[in-house]
Amino acid sequence: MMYSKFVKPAFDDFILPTKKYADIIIPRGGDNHVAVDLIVQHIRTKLGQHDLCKIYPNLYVIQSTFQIRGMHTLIRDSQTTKHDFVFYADRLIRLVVEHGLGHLPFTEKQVITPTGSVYTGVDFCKRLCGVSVIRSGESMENALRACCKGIKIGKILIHREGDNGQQLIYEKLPTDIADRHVLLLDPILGTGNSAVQAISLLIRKGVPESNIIFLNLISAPQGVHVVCKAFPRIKIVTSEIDIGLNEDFRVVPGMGEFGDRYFGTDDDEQQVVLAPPQ
Amino acid sequence: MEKEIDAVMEAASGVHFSGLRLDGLLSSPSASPRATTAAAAAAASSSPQFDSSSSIQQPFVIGVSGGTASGKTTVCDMIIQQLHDHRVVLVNQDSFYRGLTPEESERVQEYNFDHPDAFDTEQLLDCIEKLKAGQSYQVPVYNFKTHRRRSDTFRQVNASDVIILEGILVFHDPRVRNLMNMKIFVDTDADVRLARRIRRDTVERGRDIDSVLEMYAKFVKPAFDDFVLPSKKYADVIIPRGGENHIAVDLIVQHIRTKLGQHDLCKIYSNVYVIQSTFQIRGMHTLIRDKDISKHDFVFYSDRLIRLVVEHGLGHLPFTEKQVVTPTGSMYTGVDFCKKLCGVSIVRSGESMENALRACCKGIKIGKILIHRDGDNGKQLIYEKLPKDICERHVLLLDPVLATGNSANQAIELLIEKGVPESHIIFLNLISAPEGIHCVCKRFPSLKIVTSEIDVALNEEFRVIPGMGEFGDRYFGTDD
Repeated sequence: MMYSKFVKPAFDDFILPTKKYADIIIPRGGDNHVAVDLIVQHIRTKLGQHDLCKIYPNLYVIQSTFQIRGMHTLIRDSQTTKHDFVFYADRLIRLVVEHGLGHLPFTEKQVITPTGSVYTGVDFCKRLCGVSVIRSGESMENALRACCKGIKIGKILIHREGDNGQQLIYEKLPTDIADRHVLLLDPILGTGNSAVQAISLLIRKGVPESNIIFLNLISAPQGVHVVCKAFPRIKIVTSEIDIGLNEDFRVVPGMGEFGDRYFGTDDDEQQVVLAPPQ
Repeated sequence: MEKEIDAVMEAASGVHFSGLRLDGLLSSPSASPRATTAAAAAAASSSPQFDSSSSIQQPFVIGVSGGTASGKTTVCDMIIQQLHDHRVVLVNQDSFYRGLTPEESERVQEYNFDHPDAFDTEQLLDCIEKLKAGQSYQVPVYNFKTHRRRSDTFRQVNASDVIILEGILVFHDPRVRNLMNMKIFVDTDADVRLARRIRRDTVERGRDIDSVLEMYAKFVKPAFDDFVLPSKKYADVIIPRGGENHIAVDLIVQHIRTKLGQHDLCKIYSNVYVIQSTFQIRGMHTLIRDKDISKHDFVFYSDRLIRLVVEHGLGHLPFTEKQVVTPTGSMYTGVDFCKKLCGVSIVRSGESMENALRACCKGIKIGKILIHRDGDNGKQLIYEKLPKDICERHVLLLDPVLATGNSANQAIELLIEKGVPESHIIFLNLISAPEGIHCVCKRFPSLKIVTSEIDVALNEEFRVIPGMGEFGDRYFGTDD
């Protein structure tokens, strides 16, 4: 009754004629796994690639899943407890580090498995070190150590002095750093100024540009432009690219001052002054 | 003039000739194709669709069908152009026209080239099977003037990443159909197709309009109605408007690209996910598979790999949208996790994955299932301890090695008996044998499998090869 009175005429008059505007037609609806798979893959491809990745082939954004997006939602929320912030930041950093390690070179290696079969695999690159940009970058050291036992980790401190420029005031790097692949650690890439200074220092120490992998948790497009233009052969691995910088040069939407939130120094009234060590 | 055409159309809606029934035998056109189809279906069910033990990369086979002048060729050309960095071959069903006998040639006007019997389907089948197996094939060259195959020349088609099979009746025979990974039907309105056909045949081929219309009414239209249109129901995707539809072609090309980068089993089962391999992952696999690795290193690298599998698996959980305010005062549109979640480990090996799961999901409930192998004849479940409200939770089922799939199936069956919907189960593996994937995915098509590598096969003792030996013994140090 209902069907013949309303549903069918409405279908014939209004719905069916709109079929001609469809880009594709999926027969059999939800049971058609091939078609659903096709559409999902397509959307994923379209979503997956940030515009910047099309410009800079050495920029890698780790494949987003709802889990990664959920972790980002937590660490970006200003109401998240310090404990949760550290927990989810650590999980995300671990994923960024694993992804970054995937860009290291390799050599082929064959091994015999306990079943007596040959497995053709690869051997890791052994000449490796981490360099963290103090203070935020140090939050990424644990994840790096968890993946690479006994890895050497150097440090660089760049101090912001007023508005006009930044000054490198401390560095302690492995003496043989020129022979190593370097994982440069800094969770936030903002303007890119301090990153450029840190990378310049590494290059002065003899590290080839192409041997540097810069690991971020979030990156601002401005910083990506600055770093990738200055050092086109460096690789950047990040988990999300944000919208931009605000007038205070802070990443938006961002997650605030990462170091303060991670190390729990954000409820202090006064600005924490880092005394240059040594 | 108009009356004439109408008359011709009318006349043609009755019985018409098929390619092989030119000897005056007017057999019922509806009976003969059905008989062929039934026989072919029987043949198809008796022959295996693929050889799971073959380790070669199987080509991706696409069928493109549609009525005459629907834009099939344009769609194929666009696909080929956009897939320029892959090896793509086009096989046209027209190449498999049977040559006409002298008697048939004499009455060529009455020969129906649009009938399924006009094609040598056996040979077409042989061609696609050979190409699919990675061999090259000598495709016949058909001469449309003499209506015979040229005996002096062949077109050599080499094995490729993608095989496109194009033709009006490529979905007609179930055996040919079953070889296709994707079936596309190009759907263009009959009037548009006829207009194109008239233009093509008069302008390009110099025929007069009456003969074109007569031909259309006598053979093309009835064959479309009887054979082409009914085969539309087998299509996975219907492309309206043919070659002008760039979005549809783009969609298909992206899909093929993704599939080409995937393991063969992922092409067959869309719910199998292999985590993206990097040299680091491959390096970790090399270490844990090496029989000479220390126990300490085995555990360390297994744990790292398991953590990646768990993180990937968690990425398949559902979500709800959530907006938060960041410390900079901006709005961030993100997602909220699925909270109703639990792990279930298959004792003993699966327990090695619990730490990684706990490291990612604080305080997660973890149930256990123990399946004890009792001699050769079957398996016995001897222990299970699961959260009471498991039917309301998404379940991450943990077992690092998927071999035959028998114990996995028992565990999954148990979960389903407890009320967990099949689609709420994510099965996490470190390595999976193709046999196990077939076994689990055929039985539980809505379940998701996430694994870090798919191995070659099982050996005669049902152990995964190359594999990594007895995982539990190596991980828990009970192998010496």
